[in-house]
Amino acid sequence: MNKIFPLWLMSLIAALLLYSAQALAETPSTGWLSHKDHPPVEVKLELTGHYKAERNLVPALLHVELEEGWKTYWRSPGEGGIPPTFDWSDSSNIREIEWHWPVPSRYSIQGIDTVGYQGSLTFPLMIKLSPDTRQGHISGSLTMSSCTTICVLTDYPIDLRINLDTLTVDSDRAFAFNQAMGKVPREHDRNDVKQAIWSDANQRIQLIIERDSGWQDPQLFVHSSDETLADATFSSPGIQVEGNTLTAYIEVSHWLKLPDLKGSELTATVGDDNFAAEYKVKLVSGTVSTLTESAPPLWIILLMALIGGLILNIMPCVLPVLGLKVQSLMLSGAQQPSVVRKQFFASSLGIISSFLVIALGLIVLRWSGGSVGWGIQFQNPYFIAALVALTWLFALNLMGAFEFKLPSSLNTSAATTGDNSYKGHFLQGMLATVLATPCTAPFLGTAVAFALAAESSVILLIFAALGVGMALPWLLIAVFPKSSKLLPKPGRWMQWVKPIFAIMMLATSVWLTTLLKNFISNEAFLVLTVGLSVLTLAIIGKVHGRKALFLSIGGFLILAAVVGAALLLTADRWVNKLPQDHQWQPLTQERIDAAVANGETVFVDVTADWCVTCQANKIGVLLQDPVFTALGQENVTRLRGDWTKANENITLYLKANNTFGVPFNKVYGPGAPDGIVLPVVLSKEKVINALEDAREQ
Amino acid sequence: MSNSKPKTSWAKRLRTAALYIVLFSAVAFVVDAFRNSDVPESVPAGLASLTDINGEQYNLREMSKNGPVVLYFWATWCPICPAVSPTVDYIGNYYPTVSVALRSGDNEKLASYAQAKGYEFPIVNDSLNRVSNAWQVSATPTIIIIENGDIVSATTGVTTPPGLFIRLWFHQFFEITNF
Repeated sequence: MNKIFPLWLMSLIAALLLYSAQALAETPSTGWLSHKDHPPVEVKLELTGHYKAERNLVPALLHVELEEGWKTYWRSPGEGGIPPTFDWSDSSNIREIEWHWPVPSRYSIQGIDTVGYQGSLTFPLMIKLSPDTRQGHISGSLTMSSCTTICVLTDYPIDLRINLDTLTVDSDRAFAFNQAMGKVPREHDRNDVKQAIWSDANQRIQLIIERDSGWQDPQLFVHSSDETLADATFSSPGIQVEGNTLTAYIEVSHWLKLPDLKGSELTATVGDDNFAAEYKVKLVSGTVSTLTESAPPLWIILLMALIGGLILNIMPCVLPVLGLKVQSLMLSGAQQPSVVRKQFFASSLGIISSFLVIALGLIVLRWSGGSVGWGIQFQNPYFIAALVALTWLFALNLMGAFEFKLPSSLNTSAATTGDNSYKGHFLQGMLATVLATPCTAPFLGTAVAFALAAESSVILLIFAALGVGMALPWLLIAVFPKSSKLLPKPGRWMQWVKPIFAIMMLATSVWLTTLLKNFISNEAFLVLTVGLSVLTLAIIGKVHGRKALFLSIGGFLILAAVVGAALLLTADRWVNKLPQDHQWQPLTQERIDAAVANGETVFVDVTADWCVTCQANKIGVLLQDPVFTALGQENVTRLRGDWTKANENITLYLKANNTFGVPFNKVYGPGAPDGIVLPVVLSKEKVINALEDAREQ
Repeated sequence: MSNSKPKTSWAKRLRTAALYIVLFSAVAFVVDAFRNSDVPESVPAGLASLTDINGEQYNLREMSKNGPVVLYFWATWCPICPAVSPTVDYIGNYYPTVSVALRSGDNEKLASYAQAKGYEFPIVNDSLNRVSNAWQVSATPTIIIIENGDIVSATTGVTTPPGLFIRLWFHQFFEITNF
């Protein structure tokens, strides 16, 4: 027996040695970290135990456990949110920490589009040690953002020591690391990106990416590491797949001012079935085609038609008819709800059926090979003349000029007795529709363009939706006839309101008369207007006597002001404040091509006198600086297509641009040989940007 | 006869509506109290006076002596906040309002952000979470109502203008504290 080292002491030392050797062989982990103020989120940083000596890399895993409903964010978080960050500045012997982002998902929180993750997720990290070192210390603060309907930013102190001498591989973690890396997109050949265009005019990126094995259901996410783009928002892209080609459109916005993205370097991350790729992309300036964009589904188009129709009610064209309706509504206060209901159903029917008539007319026109478009009936002088007569008669009727009752059946007694003559209301609805057609409204243009390119049944469906949309206010009263009782009761004051509606209707009639100017000689036009005015006054004088004549002359003075305003809309020479318009050349495709070949910038304006939006664009944008001066520059060719009268060439030009109505504006130039299409409602900024983009080679 | 019938039904409806409002308010207050059990009972000492990005001083204790004051915790990175900020901005027309922006960048960025979004409420830049830590507020958006230096209500999450108005009226007229 060894007396100096008894057996029990020997075994104790041996056990201690064995234990410390085990303790030295380690795979460091922080364990699950949570914050007392924010239990729904837990994080854990751990090493796999591997060491890649050739690059001094220590692979690590950052696990994040989010309770149900909580989300955290990708490096470009979308419209809101903030990505997790790791401030490891207190670390020692650490050169760099590479953070790898798995392909994220898109989430919508209260209508805000965000990009991120939920549930359990793992970020693979690559920790690079300083050269010639065996030990490192990661110390810092991990900041995690997490949101449900509330947002929390939580800091987790991280403290992890790396000792390469004792580092041992943990096979479970190594497996988890490989699994996590499999979800991180790999950089792919940038030659697969066939096109990366930035259109400053449309604030939109167009990417075309090819994949040899084709695309299934790709998701695309854009990120920029450029500081100036840190707060830029890349929208959820519109994606179109055709075989091996993926086309994505991404709108870019910024809460302050978006810089020009020309030349910007971005990464496009694409996730597909068992596929995660990252493409480096450099944007070039250009025009983004909207034509190849896949058309939205029919129900969206129908919804747009419904909204477009509803908006038509507040476009200036229909206001006189609305006035008429409000007046008859006030008179209806004394009526049976059932009568009111039927009257408003009649008007709604009038609106919807005239939309269907327009649709049928367009279908027939298309079958017969004619050109179709929105508001083309205003290219026909007989149509305008008929409308002049109709609105004029309505106006006179409002003035009480007829002893016999016009179909409008504004007569209270006739209506209260409910003689079932709802024809007048039906007619009012039809008139409202035809008067509305020269007004394009937001959404309406898209719906109509879609309809006219579609098959006949779809045209009918979309126009019916337009009709229902426009008739919605009428239908509302038809469903709740008692709501008409909320309006003031008819009384003596009505006599004052009535002439106002009459004047509005008369102003419409005058505006329509001015449209005839394009089809008849100046003399004939003068005779017509003077004749109509005298006739109007004479009728009023005869029916109502001297007092009324005096009143109507007073009204006529107001009318003169309204006429002045109407002329302001139609003829710029009446207006002193606005500059004399530039000389415009008639629009032909040859002129466009020749000018572009010559290195000039071309501005195309397709317009019509009856198009109210066109006049608004002209007065509000084209005749205003800086657009007016920019259009007047020497190297700018101005081409105008006048669609006031039917013109086959202009219709063909519109059709080639996949549109069926005016206004239509497009800019061509060396920088944009295919042209940049401008929005229906112009803005100075959009025009100037398009002119600049088109000019640049 | 025919007139009296609708009257009673209206009174009934009103009573039902009032009952619902009381019920909703009660639930809201209980939820508020539960959600924000951590929020201190009164304005934290030493932080009664806050300085906004324009250098203006706001003493919450002093301001709340004359009626309720709204303190709004938000952040530029919080996707829900744009849904609530306009409400706070609107309330600012009727009640003194101060906002605290949690880690949302420097003063210049905050000023241009507020300008771009049209926010007119004063903004205290809490880039180091000093204010929010003292108030024990970690989640945005959070709206706190202070009266006489006491915190009478704290709500985290989406608030609607009527919801916020009801809370303010409630505390203004009943002066109920320490909810």
